[in-house]
Amino acid sequence: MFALSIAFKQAVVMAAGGVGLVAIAVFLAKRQLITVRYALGWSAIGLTVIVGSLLGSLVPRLGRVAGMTPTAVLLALAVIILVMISIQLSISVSGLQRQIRDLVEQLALSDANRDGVRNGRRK
Amino acid sequence: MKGRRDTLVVVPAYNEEPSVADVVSAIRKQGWDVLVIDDGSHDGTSRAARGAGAVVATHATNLGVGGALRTGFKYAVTHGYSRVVQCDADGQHRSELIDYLVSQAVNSNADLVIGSRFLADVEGSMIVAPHRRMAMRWLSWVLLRKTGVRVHDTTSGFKCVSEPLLSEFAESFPAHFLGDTFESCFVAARNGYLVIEVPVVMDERAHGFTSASSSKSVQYIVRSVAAAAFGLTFRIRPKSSTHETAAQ
Repeated sequence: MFALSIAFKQAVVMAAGGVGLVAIAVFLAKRQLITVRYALGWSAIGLTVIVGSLLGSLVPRLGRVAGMTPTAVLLALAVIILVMISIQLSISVSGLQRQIRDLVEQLALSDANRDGVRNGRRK
Repeated sequence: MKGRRDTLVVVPAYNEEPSVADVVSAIRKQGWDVLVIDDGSHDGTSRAARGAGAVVATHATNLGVGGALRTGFKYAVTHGYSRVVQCDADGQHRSELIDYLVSQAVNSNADLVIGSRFLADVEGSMIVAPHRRMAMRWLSWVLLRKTGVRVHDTTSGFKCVSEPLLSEFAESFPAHFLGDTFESCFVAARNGYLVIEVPVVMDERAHGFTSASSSKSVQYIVRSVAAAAFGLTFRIRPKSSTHETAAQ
């Protein structure tokens, strides 16, 4: 009975977290602080969490299979998801840095070409 | 007057308004073409350099010395130069020694000639802080172990890069902190390009302060050694394959 109430509480916390995540993603997208692409990604994670919380016995069952407590299962899943998101964001940021560098470089080269033509020293 | 028409002197500059005009004038007086890369300066570096007669490429934001050099290499390749001499904008490098660096490149067929302040047995050459000197000794040892090339002044900013290495650097030169020094020597030597070191006299900065500090030296060593050990360096084609491409 006690174990069941813990599982129920965890389901409620998960569902609330999922709803909160979707709400925050939609709010940020409406304020144009994140793009629709990222809002959809975070919303998908939030919806997954909500569905997971509705399948009440899923977490304890996973815990039994993995030999972990339900709390540990939830924490492990959260950590895995956050690490994956961080890696994906690192890849995105690296790509953006490359693009910014290329853009800055191209602008500077155009600048220098104009300068060279003006000075009549273009080879 | 060796290779004047084929050589471009690239001067990366960040907030060097007080010294850049004198540096450009001195280089132009020797008959070299000069390109100044204003790397996102907040002062009048671009205006001063242009006023002294340099062609100026202005970065909208600061990319670091490596990023500035890559822009310079690209400009040189696009405009048909076969050699680039890198020269600091703070007055440390003597413009009359550019001819010496180019002569060494031409006579020895070296792809990368590094001007070393530690080989010059001359009074008055600049003094390097002990922590920086220690970092350089470490890197020099790593370079010797990994490539068989001995370079004493691994962070020298007075260098001459010739084709075909120039085109390779124009494509993939790194912008990260000090990737333009040890890492570029390492990558060039590792890929079969001839790297030599020649003695030059360097002076103290005419204005401003160096960006080197103890913490940066440690950061530099860790990063460089990790890059060399795990193959995290930037990539260029081996010299042998550039010859094959040229032959086709």
